[in-house]
Amino acid sequence: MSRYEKLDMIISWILVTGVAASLAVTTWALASYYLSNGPALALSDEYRVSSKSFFDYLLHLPKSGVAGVMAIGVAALMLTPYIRALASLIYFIAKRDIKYILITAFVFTILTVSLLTS
Amino acid sequence: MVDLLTVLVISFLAGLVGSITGLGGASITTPLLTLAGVPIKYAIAAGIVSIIATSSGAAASYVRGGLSNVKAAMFLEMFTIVGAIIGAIITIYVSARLLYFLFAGFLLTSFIGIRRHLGEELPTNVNQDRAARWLGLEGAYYDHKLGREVSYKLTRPIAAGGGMFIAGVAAGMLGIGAGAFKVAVHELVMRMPSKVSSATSTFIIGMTALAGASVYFSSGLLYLTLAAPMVLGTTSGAVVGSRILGHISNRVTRLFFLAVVFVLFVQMLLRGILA
Repeated sequence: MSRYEKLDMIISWILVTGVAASLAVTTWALASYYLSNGPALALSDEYRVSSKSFFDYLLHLPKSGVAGVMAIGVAALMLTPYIRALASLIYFIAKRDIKYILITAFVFTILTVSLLTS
Repeated sequence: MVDLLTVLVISFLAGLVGSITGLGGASITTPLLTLAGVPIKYAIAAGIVSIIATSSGAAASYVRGGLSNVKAAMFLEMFTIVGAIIGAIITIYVSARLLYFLFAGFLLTSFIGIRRHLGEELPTNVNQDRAARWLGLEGAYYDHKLGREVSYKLTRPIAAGGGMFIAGVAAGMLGIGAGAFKVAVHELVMRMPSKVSSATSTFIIGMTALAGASVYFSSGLLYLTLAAPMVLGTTSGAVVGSRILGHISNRVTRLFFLAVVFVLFVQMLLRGILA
C-alpha cells in the first residue's frame, strides 16, 4: 500500500460510515413524518433550526418526536466532514508530513471556529 | 406547500447529475425548489446541508478508487472554506433578486470556461511550477473508458487557490457546492483531467458546504423538513452517479456539464428578471 492509499481508505471509511448513519436516521425520520403528517412538508417553527452555533445546536437537540430524529440525522451528516478533517490531521501528524500538517490544521481550526461561533 | 415526493425526486436527479458533473447537486435543487414554491433562502439553506451528503456519499467511492486527488483537495480547501463562511454571512443580508442574478452570472462563467476545452480528452504538456512540485501535486487513476492507467501532474496551485476562494464565496452565498466553478478552476488553472476534476470537486464540496452551513444554523433559514428529504434524495442519486462516472468519457462528462449549466443559467436569469 503506497503512502497515501491508507489515508484514502481511512477517509473513505469515515465518509461511508457517516453518510450511512445519517441516511438511516433520516429515512426513519421521514417515514415517521409521513405517517403522522402526510406528504406535505411543514415549514413551521417546530422544524426550524435556530441555534447560536452548530455546537450549540448539538447540545440542544430536540429530545423527542420526528423533529428530534431529523435533527440527529442532520447532526450526524454535519459531523462527517468534520471528523474527516480531524482524521486527516492525525494521519499527517503520525506521518510527520509538516506541509500537510499545517494545511490540515488550518482547515480544521477554521472549521472548528466557524462551528463554534456562527 | 411543497410535498415530500417532489423534493425526493428533484433531489435524487440533482444528486445523480451533480456527482457526474462535479456540480454538487444544489445548483440543480435550488432552482427547481424555487419553481415548486419554496422561498429561495430556505432552498439555499437546506441545499447547503444536502450538499454535505452528496459530496460525502460520492467522494467515498472516488477516494477509494483513486479518482479524487486528496492532496490537491486539502490544499484548495484552505481557500474555499474561508470563502464559504464569508459568502454565507453576506447572503443573510442581500435581496433574493440579487441572488438569482449572482447565481446566473456564476453559472455563465463556468459554462464559458469549460466550453473552451471541450475537445481535450486529457491535458497535455503540463509543466509543474515550483509550488505544485513542493506540494507533490500529481497522481494516477485507472480510466475504465480508455482502458489504461492515466498519470497526471498539476500546476499553479496558488492561482487556483484564489479561484477557489471565489468559489467558496459563491458556495456560501448561494447554498451550492460551486462545483461548476471549482471544476473550471481545476481544469483551466491546474490542468486537472476532467474526471479527476469532477471527483476532486465533489470531495472538496463537502468541506466547503460544512463551513457555509455552520452560518445557517443561527440564521433561522434552515428547516429540517426541507433538509432531510434533500439529504436522502441527493445522496441516493450521488451514489448511483458515482458508479456511472468512471465508465463515460471526459468529453461526455463535459458535454453533460455544459448542458446542465446552460439550462440552469437561463432558468435563474428568468427568475431574477421576474422576481
